[in-house]
Amino acid sequence: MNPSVTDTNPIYRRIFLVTIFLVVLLAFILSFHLISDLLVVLIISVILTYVFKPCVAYLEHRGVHRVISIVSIFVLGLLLLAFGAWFFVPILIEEGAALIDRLKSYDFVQLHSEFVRFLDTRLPVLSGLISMEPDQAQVWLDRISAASTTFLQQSHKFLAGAINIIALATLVPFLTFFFLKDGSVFMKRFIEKIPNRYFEMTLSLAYRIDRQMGNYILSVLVESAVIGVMTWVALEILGIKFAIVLGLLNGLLNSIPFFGPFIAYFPILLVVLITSGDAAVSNMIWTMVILIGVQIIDNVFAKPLLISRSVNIHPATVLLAVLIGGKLAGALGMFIAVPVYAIIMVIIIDSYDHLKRYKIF
Amino acid sequence: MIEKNSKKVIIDPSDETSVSGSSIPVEWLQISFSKEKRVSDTRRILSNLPLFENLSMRQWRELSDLFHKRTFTKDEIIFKNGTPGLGMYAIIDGSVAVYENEDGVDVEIARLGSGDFFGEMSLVEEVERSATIVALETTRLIGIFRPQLKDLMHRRPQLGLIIIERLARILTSRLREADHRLAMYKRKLSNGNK
Repeated sequence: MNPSVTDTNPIYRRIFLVTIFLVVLLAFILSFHLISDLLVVLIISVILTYVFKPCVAYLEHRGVHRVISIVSIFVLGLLLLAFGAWFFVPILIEEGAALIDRLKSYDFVQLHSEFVRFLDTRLPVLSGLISMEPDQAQVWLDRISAASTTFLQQSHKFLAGAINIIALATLVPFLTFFFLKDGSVFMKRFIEKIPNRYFEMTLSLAYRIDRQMGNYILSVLVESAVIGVMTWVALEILGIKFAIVLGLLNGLLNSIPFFGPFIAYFPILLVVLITSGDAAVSNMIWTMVILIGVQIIDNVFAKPLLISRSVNIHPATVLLAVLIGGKLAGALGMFIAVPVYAIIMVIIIDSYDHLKRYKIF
Repeated sequence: MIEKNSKKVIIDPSDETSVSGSSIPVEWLQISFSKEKRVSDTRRILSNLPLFENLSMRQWRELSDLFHKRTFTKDEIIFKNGTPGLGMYAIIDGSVAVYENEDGVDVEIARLGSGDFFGEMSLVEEVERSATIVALETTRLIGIFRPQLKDLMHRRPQLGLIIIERLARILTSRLREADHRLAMYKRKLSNGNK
């Protein structure tokens, strides 16, 4: 018996890698089309499992039984949710409704004229480049307004239709509970079915992916929360209206790498402009300073601490993932697209690495 | 790392899960869905290993989900030389051959049988396997792996510490044996030179 290892052509490896990537991508898109509701429920449950997992592990570490740990975390989570609903939801609804009213009643033509006037006095070179007739400005603003309305309607339709709230409220906690309680047993049962040749590789891969996914989801959530709270507090101190909504928006959109912060800046600055009256320009400048400051703090302090987030993905593919996510599942799809894409990339890269290290090919 | 002189564990022949071929009940092969049965099965098989002896039933309940049972057919490779070491295996029944690569040729250096265990150094750190292990006949193994041991240490640090302490004791005794052998060879070499 001579169990020597055979060498293989690197071209086959590349073909293998590309094929796997395409198959996974195609399967994901196809399955999303077929079972999008169920998949969204599953993805939310998985994300919640990873959020609660460290808390359950901490309680177990302190000697508490696993089931009691999970139940305690669920009760605590429900209490926090109830407190959040009691404290934040009325503010969010109130601020959101007031903001929509303000947007509806705002005279965009006047805004355009004020903006051109501001540029005329401060930056005359730019003024010549972007000045338009009031009618033309109205046409553009109508188009932007129509696009925003369509986006909001689609998001609303998706939230109301695709995910049944009752199904979400019952299935998600149920699935999360069992993922937390029996996750390791599910994994063991799955690994038992793997042929001997791939057993150690699969076991190692499963644990690595599990760890990476946990780190990624937690770091994104913590980072978004930090950014959201920092933005909220800073805008509140500055006296900007709707600070809590804007903080939430900045925190949420920050979960999209590269483009998220820039996508967030536009609506935030627009809201500041509309709601600030005479102090619009100075408030916008201060808001910009705050947003850049928050980004600097995030990049200098938060990101290095949450280093595990560094899934090496290209900005162009992130944009593509966000677009596909938006097309498949509306606004929610845009948010879960990047974590799902990052997870798929981790699985593919690690699988390739493990196949090489375990000399499978 | 494969230890050439892996410790032999004495298994009680009256035990129905012991290693002598047909004495193992058929139901052992089936996936046990009952937690208690799974725990007692694992306990009977592993409690003679120095790593897991004298543990309470409660501790076995914690441990039983960590183990993986695998069956290898004749000539099937259990792991290859140079691949990352993930954990240790104990032989329930059957036998395996240990091959080391010497100048590009795989040479059989040892045979291990029921009750032997190998690969325990991989439980401590990721070291490349230093040998290839091949099943000589249908062989059933039970394995415990580093990620699960780490998970246990995180969740149940006291039990994890017991296992790690015993593992350290096994590795120390191996090191002492190797030192002793080295000293003996040195003495022989110096006597030969005289």
